[in-house]
Parts: sequence; structure tokens; C-alpha cells
Amino acid sequence: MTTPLQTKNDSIIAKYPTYVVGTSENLGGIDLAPFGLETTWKIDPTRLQSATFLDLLQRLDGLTFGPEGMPMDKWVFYNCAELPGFIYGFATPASDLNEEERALFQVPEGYEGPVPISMYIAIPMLEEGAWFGHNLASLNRVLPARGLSSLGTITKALALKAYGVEHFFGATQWDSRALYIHTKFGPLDLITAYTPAHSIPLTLTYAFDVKDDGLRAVLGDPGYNIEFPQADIYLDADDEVSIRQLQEDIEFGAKVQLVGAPSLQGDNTIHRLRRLGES
Amino acid sequence: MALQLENYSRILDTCVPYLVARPQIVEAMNLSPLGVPIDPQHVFNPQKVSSGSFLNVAKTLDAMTYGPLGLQMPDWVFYDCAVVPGAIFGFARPAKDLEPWLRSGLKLADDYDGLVPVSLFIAIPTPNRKRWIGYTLCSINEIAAGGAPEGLWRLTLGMGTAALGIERMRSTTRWRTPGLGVYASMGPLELVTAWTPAHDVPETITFDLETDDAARNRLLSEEKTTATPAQRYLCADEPEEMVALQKDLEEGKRWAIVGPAEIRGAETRIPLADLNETSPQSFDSGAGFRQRFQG
Repeated sequence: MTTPLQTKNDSIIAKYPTYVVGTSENLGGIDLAPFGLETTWKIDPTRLQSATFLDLLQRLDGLTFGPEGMPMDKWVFYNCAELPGFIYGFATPASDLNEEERALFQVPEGYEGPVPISMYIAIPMLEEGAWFGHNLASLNRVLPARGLSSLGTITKALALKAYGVEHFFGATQWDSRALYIHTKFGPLDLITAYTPAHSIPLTLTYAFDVKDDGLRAVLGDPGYNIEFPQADIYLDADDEVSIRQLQEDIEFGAKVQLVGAPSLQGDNTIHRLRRLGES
Repeated sequence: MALQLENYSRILDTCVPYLVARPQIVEAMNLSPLGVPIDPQHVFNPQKVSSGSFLNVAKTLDAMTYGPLGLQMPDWVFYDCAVVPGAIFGFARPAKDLEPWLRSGLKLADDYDGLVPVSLFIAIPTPNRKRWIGYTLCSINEIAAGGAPEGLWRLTLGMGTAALGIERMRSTTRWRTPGLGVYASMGPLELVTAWTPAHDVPETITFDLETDDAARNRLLSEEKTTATPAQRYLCADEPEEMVALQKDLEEGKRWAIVGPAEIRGAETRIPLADLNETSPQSFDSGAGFRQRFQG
């Protein structure tokens, strides 16, 4: 089977259909065939028949972040994702799950609809074209036998295309593994380095401009590439003093970018940054 | 349209308006909503370290309001889904003016001497940027009556929608919450959902409402008459009625809440009108119910 786009793992595109959750008003503004990949399921969160699928999204969230991760409350899904923005991802019909997987998902008896295996949530910011992404979940590690490597990256890239994102913003912790995915999208402008308004102050806020060529490169199309500039600062993810100093510099106008994935040096996570000057 | 605020002078004399928003959003805001200027020193950038202590008190107010309802906002949601994509408008009091019981109730640190938020309204945009989602509206009076003058809820909603330039908003609340009356006094609340299994509390409603100057005028003048008369009532304690109404909505019928809840003893009923029905049938309106009208 040929797929409409090239990715790092074309078997995902070939085997698993995609879904989007959004209200009827919002769905008018979405690209339902990002890079030519048609969306199979459109889920309206305001309808009764969507209830089981939305419960399964919450379950996906819990499975992704493990027993120590607290799944998002349903009201957060509803008020902070489904009403203002979208949830996009891959799913599989319940009939495709084996007994163990059905139990893992706690699929209700008799349910034969789609079961989500990944999701990406983003909501619009006030500026036209600007979106804030706040949840990426995938079952790559939970379902190793299914061969879902790169599922999170592919989901995020397709979601950004579907939502029509031009300027992307996100927040994550300096020690988060998610940064290995986020840094694939190109150099990331640091908006904050230390963020007391967040539950974990050692959170960074980042941003980048979204271009189709960049998304194709992230998806894994060998015809596209993203250039990463050389780093001139190396920052330990646990070095709160330096992170707070970086925040102070940013508040005084410094322009700083994350220029690639972190590296592990012993027990330490080291980030690569470069300073672009003052605004 | 000039809105009359003289009935709210007790709030304006003791509380100051504030805004939490990124500079890019502040540029698009009305910094003198309803003619009341917001002091630039009371505009907080959520991405600056210096805003942290004020935001922590705001989070405490939200937690005390919504925690008992099982809807406490995690801090990351406050950042990712409120102050970065959208904005907060509210009123605050100087810490030095707070009564000791209120300082204690809000768990203020002994040395905190900044502004103390006593109300907040959070809204975030939708993809077309003209329609907003309002998902938090709270006032200190809900959790500590007397913490601020009466009317704070409605003035916060009126000035908040004006500050953010919101003319049409979608929001959620519960059938039984007194806040329903605050929203309903702006105008008909067109129901999007009447029973919402997507939410932790399915007895949640989703509704659209106009929040233009005319609506703000109705809200702040506390008009009790509505242009749309009730055609039936829904019992706010009967899930079966909510599910039936939800099925009606999914079949394309258009229902709106057309006034605050009405109370008789332990009974609460919500007035509804069919927006597709041009010649309403007469019905038994019941006796002894009184409008619950506060905020």
C-alpha cells in the first residue's frame, strides 16, 4: 500500500487511521487531510455518542504517563482542549485489539468504535496562527509489539499541519524526555527558562515557526532537512542557578535558542543553547 | 453605550482591576473597560518571575472556589491553558486592607503585602479568534462572604468581557450553580449541551451567549425581565430531564435558558425557551417560585 507522505515509520500511516476531536464550529477551520492523509473519525465532544471515545482518550493519557503520572481530569480535556481547540491522533478499531489490550484500555463490553493510540492537543492563542500545545501522548512504549516507533513525533507533526499552526508555543520541564521530540522541530526560541506561574518552576516555554518543509523533515521524509546551528552554551537541566540567570537575561531582552536534543553525560542532562543577542 | 456603574462604586472604591496577560495580548485588550482604567502596574506578565507571588494568590482563590467542586485547576493548566493562550481579568484588594480573618482564609504569607485577587475571569480564544471560551468566573464572596462588596461576580464578568473584547462567548457551568443566574442576566443562554458526559460532572451545561454592550448593560443593571419568556422549566435535580433535553439538542432543537434559577423550598427549576418556536404554548408556570438572583 502506498501512503500519501513519507515518514520514519510508514507502517503507522498504512495501518492506523486518524481521528480528530473538535466541535462542529471549530472543525470548519481544520485541514482534515494533512499532507493528504484523510482523517477517518471526527468526534464531536458535545454529543452523547462520543462519551466512550473521550473516556478512552483519558485512559490513553494515563497509560502514556504511567502509574506515577496523573491523568488529566475530564473537565480539563473538555474546557481546555475539546471546546477551544482540537485533539488529533491515530486510533484503531476496537476489533483490532487483543484481549490483553482491551483490558489495558478498559474498553467497555460491546464497544466497537475507535480506540486512540496517540493524541496531540493544541489550543489557539490570541495571535492569528499562534497555537499552544499542551499534551502529547503515544503508546509506543506501552505496546512494543505493535511497532509504533516515532508515533509521538508523527502525531505532533501531522497535528500541527491539520490545525494550521504558523507559530507554535509549548512548555515543558528541563528534565523532560519530551524535549527529545520537541527539539526535532528545529531551533526553539526560549520564551521563558524559569516559570513560577507553572506548577514546576523549572519549566521552559519555547516557540518556533511552523513550515511545511520542516514538518516533512520531522516526519522523516528524506527529501527534507532541518539545519541546527552550533551551540555556544551548555546547560545542565538541574542547574537552577544558571536557569534562573537565563530567565533574568531573557526578561532583559536576551534572545536564546535551544539548538537540538539534550545529551546525557553520566547522570546529567545537558542542553545545547545559543545566544542570538539582545532584542 | 455608556454603562452606569454608580451602583458598583463600593467595589470600585475598595478594589482595583487587574489583568494577567502576555504583552502581545495586552496590546489587543481594552485597558479601560467600561471607562475604568487598569493601572499599568496592575498588569501582570505571566512569563515574568516577578508576577509569581500574585499569580500564586490567584491560584489559591481558584482552588478554594473550585476545589470543593472537584474542579481544582492544576498549576500547569493555569499556565498552559489560561494565562499563555488567553488572559485573566479580575479585581484585587491591597493586602494591607484585608481583614485578618480574610488574610487567614486565603492563607496569605505574613509578609505578603502585594495585591490580593478577590475575583477572576479567565477566557481563552477559539480558532476563529472572535469567539472565546470562558471557563472560570469566581469571586471571593462565593467562599468567604463579605470578602468584597456584593456585585463583584457580575462586575467582574461585565468588565472582563469588555477588557478582553469578547462579544460572543461559550462557557460551561452546572445546572445547580448560582453562577447560572449571573450569566443568564446577560441574555438567553443557548444550550450546546444539557448533559455532558465529556465532563467529570455530566450535569454540566455548555452554552453560548452574547456578551456585547447591550448584554453587559442588562447584567449590570440587574434587569429581571427577559425579552424571551419561559416556555417550560427543567428541574435542576433530575438527570433524566437533562438527558432528554440533550437528545433534543442533538436532534437539532434549539433551547435556551432565559433567566436565573427559580427556587421553592428545596426545588430548583430553570426557565427554558424553544428558540425555534415562534408562537409558544401556554403552560402552568407553577406557584411560589422566586428567582435566585445574586452575584
